[in-house]
Amino acid sequence: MMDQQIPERRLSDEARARRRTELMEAITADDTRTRRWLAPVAAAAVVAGLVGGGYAVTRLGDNGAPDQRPERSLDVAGSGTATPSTQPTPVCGDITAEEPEQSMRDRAATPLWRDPAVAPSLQSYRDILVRHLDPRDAHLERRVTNIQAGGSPECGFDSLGTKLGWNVAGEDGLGMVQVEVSTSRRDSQVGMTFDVWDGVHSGLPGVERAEVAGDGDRMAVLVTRSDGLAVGILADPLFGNNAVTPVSGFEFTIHDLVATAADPEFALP
Amino acid sequence: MKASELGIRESDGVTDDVLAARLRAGDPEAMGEIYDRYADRIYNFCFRRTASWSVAEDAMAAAFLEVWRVRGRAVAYDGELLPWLYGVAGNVCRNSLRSQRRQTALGAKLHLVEGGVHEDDHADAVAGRVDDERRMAELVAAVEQLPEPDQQILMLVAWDGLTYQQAAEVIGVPVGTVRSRLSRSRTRLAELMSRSDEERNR
Repeated sequence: MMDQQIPERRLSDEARARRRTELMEAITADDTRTRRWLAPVAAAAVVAGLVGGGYAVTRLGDNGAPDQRPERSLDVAGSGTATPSTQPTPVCGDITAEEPEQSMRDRAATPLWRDPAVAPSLQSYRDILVRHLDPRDAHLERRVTNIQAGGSPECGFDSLGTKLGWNVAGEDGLGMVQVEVSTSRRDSQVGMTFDVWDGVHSGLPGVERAEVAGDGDRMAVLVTRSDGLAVGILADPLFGNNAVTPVSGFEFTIHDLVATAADPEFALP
Repeated sequence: MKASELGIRESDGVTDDVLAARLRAGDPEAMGEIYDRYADRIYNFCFRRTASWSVAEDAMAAAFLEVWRVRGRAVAYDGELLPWLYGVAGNVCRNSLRSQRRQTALGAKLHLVEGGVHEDDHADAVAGRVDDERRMAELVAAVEQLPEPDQQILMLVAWDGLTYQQAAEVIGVPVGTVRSRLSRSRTRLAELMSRSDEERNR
């Protein structure tokens, strides 16, 4: 029918070459800008993590595309170039901004989400989310490049979590699924996101308490296990940090979120 | 049109899966290879949405920039990157059309295209381009009378050559839905085109 009536052409050689040059120049400029931005952000995140063991939020790279080049020395706040050094003995429980600058630089050179003590845990969080919520692995951002952490690899974590983008094919928007594992419900940032939580009966093994909350299109669950560990999951059709357009929705229900949060494989490093 | 006629180097050893992985890792060379492999396909894809070769060229360029911006989400469905590229390019073309329509009516747009063709183009080539655009504009106008989801499926399968499975992945619907919508939209489009021909011949 009309399939045969549709005209097709090749780009002219001149247009093809010109557009290619423009593209490569643009992405090279973009890459340079990204790397200039990485150093101060990483350094700021390390400082935030060290001071008071607070929540260090790092979003490195754009749209789930971290810089995968070999590690480079980072110039932190214009204070010189980092060189490898032996790690100082960590001092836990009384960390202040007086942490040696060299240690800060070393930490900045290895983003926390890439730390060998942390990366496997974050990846396992994603794997669990995929298993329960996105079995075709078609929606969740593939690379974990975002971390929310209370504590540090050296001194242990009170909480560890990540936010993953949620894509829907054919849509412009970007949603988000946040997952967080914490040593107690009190330490859960997901728990602090909502004022009102409703207890629900989950009937799932190992679950001491299951709660749900929501507003608008957002929905969240908080499961406290019998060992005290709390797992919070928040699903938001709009990934507010990275997009202005929400996705149309999720394929899972709040019951699926409860079952996911109750997965016994969630653990802190 | 065959892949080789569109400049696709099918014999290249690098698979789309590998290119997708390299793109996700932020490799600019992979971006260049993807451009070399698929620029013509995206150019024609954009023409089928915009009915203008010049707009399609701009949209194609914008689409590849967008591909780089969202590279972290790159995925090869069944070993082919094209369905994902089409998904990205489709969004760019929609935005391009929206902004264009805000500024000008279709007739004026076609007139501008006619005037904008390179002066050194051969007269036959110019006529060919304009003729392409008129035919495509008629088709696009007919397709736009279909429900939005049907439009997408018709274009992806009938025009862009995706399999049912690939179209289902791009749109995020079951394969059965693709089949039923495609059948329905083909029938409806044939009616619309037939009516359009009758009106023109009156």
